[in-house]
Amino acid sequence: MTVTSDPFPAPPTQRLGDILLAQSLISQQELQYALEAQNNSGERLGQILVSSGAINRLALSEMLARQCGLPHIDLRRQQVHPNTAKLLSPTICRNLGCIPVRESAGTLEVAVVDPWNLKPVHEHIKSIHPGKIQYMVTSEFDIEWTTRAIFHDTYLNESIWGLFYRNPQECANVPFTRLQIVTMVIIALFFIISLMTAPYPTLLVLNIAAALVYLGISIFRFVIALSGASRQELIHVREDDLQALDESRLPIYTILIPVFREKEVLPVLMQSLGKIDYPASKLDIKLLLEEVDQETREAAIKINPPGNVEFITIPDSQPRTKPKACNYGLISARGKYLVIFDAEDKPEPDQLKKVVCTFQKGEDDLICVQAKLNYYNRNQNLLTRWFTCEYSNWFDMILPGLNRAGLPIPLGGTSNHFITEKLRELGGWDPFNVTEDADLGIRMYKHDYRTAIVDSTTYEEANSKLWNWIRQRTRWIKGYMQTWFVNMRRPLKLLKELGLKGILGMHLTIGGTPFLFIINPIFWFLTTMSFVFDTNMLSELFPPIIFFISAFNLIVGNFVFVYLNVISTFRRGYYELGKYALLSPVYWVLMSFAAWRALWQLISKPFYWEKTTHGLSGQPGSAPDGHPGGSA
Amino acid sequence: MKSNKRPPAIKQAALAFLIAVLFFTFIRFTARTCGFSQLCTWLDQNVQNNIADFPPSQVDYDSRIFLRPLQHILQAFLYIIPFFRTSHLASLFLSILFASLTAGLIMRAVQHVGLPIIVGWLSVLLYLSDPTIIESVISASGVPILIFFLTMTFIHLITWQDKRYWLALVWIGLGTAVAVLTQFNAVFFLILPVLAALVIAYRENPENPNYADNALWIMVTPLVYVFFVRFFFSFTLASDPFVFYQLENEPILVGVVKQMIQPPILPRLNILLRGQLTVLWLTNPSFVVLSAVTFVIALIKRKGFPAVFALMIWIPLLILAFSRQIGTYTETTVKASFLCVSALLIMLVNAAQWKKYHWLFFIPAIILIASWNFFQWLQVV
Repeated sequence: MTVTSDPFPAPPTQRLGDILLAQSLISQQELQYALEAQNNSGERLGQILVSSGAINRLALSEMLARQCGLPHIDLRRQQVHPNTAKLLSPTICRNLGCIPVRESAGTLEVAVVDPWNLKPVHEHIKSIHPGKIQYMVTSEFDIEWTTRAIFHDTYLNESIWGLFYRNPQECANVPFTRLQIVTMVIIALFFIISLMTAPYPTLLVLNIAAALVYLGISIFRFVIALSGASRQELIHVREDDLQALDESRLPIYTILIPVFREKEVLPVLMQSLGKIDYPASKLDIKLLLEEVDQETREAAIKINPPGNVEFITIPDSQPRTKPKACNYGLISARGKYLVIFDAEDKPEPDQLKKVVCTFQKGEDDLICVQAKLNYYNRNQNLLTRWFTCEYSNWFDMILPGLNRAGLPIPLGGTSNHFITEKLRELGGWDPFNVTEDADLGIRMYKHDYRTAIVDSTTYEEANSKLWNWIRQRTRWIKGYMQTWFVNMRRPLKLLKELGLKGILGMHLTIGGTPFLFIINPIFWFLTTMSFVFDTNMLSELFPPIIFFISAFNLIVGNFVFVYLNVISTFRRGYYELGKYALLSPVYWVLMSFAAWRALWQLISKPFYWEKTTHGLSGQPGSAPDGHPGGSA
Repeated sequence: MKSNKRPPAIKQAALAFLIAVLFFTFIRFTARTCGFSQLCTWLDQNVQNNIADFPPSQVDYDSRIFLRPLQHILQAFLYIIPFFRTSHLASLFLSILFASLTAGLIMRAVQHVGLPIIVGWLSVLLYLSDPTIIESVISASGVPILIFFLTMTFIHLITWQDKRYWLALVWIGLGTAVAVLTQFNAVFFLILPVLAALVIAYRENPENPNYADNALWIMVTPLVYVFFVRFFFSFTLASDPFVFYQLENEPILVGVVKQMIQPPILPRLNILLRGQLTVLWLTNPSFVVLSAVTFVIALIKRKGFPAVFALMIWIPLLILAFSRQIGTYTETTVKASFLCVSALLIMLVNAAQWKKYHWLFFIPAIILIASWNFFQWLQVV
């Protein structure tokens, strides 16, 4: 190892491509392909070769070192002194692509990713170490890996408590605050006493309240859905916009993929990622693997993904949730934009480009774009058909309607695209919330940021097994309840932050969804009773105005929800599902069961993450090639 | 500087609605006090004799209300507010509301098929000045409600044919269902438009039968649901699934006389073809002329839709008029009130079909309808 007084390398005498060819690390065709890609994307040759899988990062960094005449260092084999490394903060290490390795005899050895762009690194290092500096070349992933290892506690702390440190009121680390518990106890006591002293008036008041809320939600859903269905998205991306995109100006895009015990879907995942129409060298793909999940890790290594896919191991700690993993990945995200995909997702190939266009067309306050979600195994069984109808209704009609009305949007579980810096500024996801996406949608709105819906679909695997579906639905409804309680910790402050329209929207979507499912069985029971027994008790509970509202809810409300599902199948182009949508009331029974289960879990196991098992469709390879019709 | 920007259709429609509300309210509440002219006497007589109502004393605030037609259900709802319990205000409110909504709908439809705004305003004017419409509004019958939903259904059928705008199917479905909820006999008017929309859907995508299948579900689901609710409540509460039909056809209109004629089959056909054609001609020749001309031109030019559209209004009109003759149907004003709107609908169909020459259709249509309205007023006054 030579220590030079001038740390900057001399101008190169050989081109990198020639060195790689001479070393037989790449073929002439691979070089040709990379040069063409470089012309289009403006990205560095080495980066392109790594992203296409032609060479690995270690080999590239070795050749870079040879080209510039600096020593090479393999950080996974060489020991890094933690105290020396901590001379820089992890953020600076990541941003500048460097890490101090050790100090010996007054010389500070610093590993760098880009030896041809040492000036900013050198300026920084000089300010902390006035003595001699020796630069060595390493790979980007090695810097990331080492930074994570050195700053293990900082990373973990940030991914779990980042949001809490920024604003504890927005974090669901406690399901209910003391004030909320006291309020609920007082209300419960008041209710019990009222019921004992004046049962009919008490039940009447409850009935009135429930009927009015039900009415409000029904009308709201109908109006919002029709508004969303009748027009195109607020920010509409045309084919011309996509054609006009200059690939060389496209920013780096981070894709976070949290996986946990999902080795079956990894081949499909790689296939889907390969189809994304975005320069591979500008994709920063991070596979987020749990430390305890050795099986998936081994399966992922066996697949041997291209060089733009990075494995990040999430240290085992509580809560072991998807949002915590995403927060962990967010820390080292390099992209200007960032998206979450689930392992079994099949996004339409042009989704990322459409999102870039949407961000370009949007106002400054637009920081998130939600793609539409739907299912590729919709015709597997009755449950998947119902599930598809529901998703078509939610993502094709309700969310665009909410967007059009300027209301907060509860994000879907995947395919949410963010401006990375803004997401960091907001504190990322709440690791204690089991529907962290919905919560983040509300949080963004509170902070005066907006979400747009993009007309691009990500196809997922619909849950096809009943118990698996109930577990998943329990988690979702519990998450909505969590989100509602977290936001309602300070109702007046919330009103100020969301405004009257926003708070109404939040109650009717986040609060209204669990409410409907919980209240439905009670109303069904009362209706059945009235037909079977025709009791006077019920007529006392339904004075004229309440009778009308309840009857409207029963006759019109239920019809509206079924009909919206029928309409949504037509809008989505799933014509064969129309008749199955008519059977939706049976699906609601399952929803109500899950809702009551969720209510119980909210009290007994608030942070318990009921993992959904994927890969049950039995058709992992039969994904649609970005075709909305999907596999029949 | 003159702006080339067309005003939004919704604003014009809202304005038409508001003007109609003011117009009908003014006519209704000044009918008895506006003087001694024959016009006022005619209006006053209608108010006195033909007022249709479902008095608050008859309302049952329980499931039995669902045996009633939509107009009564809405009235019962309004009776919760004491203001509406007196002077037939609930039924008048509903009549004026829905008649005015029809005016807005006509305005919107005219703009949607690409006709100039002036045609929209002329159409609204013709609609407002039709004495049969005014009669049905001031007598507070359920007819304006029915006409609104019939108009909505037919207009969306035109939209579906013209632009294949899928949401039109939803409005056809909902319009059909609520029209039947208002009056069961409206089903005669609605079977053909639904079938026509279905045929269009099939021709749009013949390779995929699921397409037409799904279109059918969208249109028919509300209708089937309405029947289900009707039959269910009728059977559960009165052990007779058709009780609702009897209640609907009880002579709420005081001046209606049932004509219990039960001739044999051949004379019946004679009544249908000759008798009713004459009745229709005498009731509204502008409609007869417009639809007949449309039918002939469409056949010559081999344009199926306008011809079918004309038949879609003719056939149920004849059937309804015929059934009234044989005593199974007692409503008198549906036919007459719907003819003016039907003439306007025929004009819209032609304008949508022959976009370049639409003036060839709307100018004669407007002159014809205006002349007939004028003639009717001459008779009244």
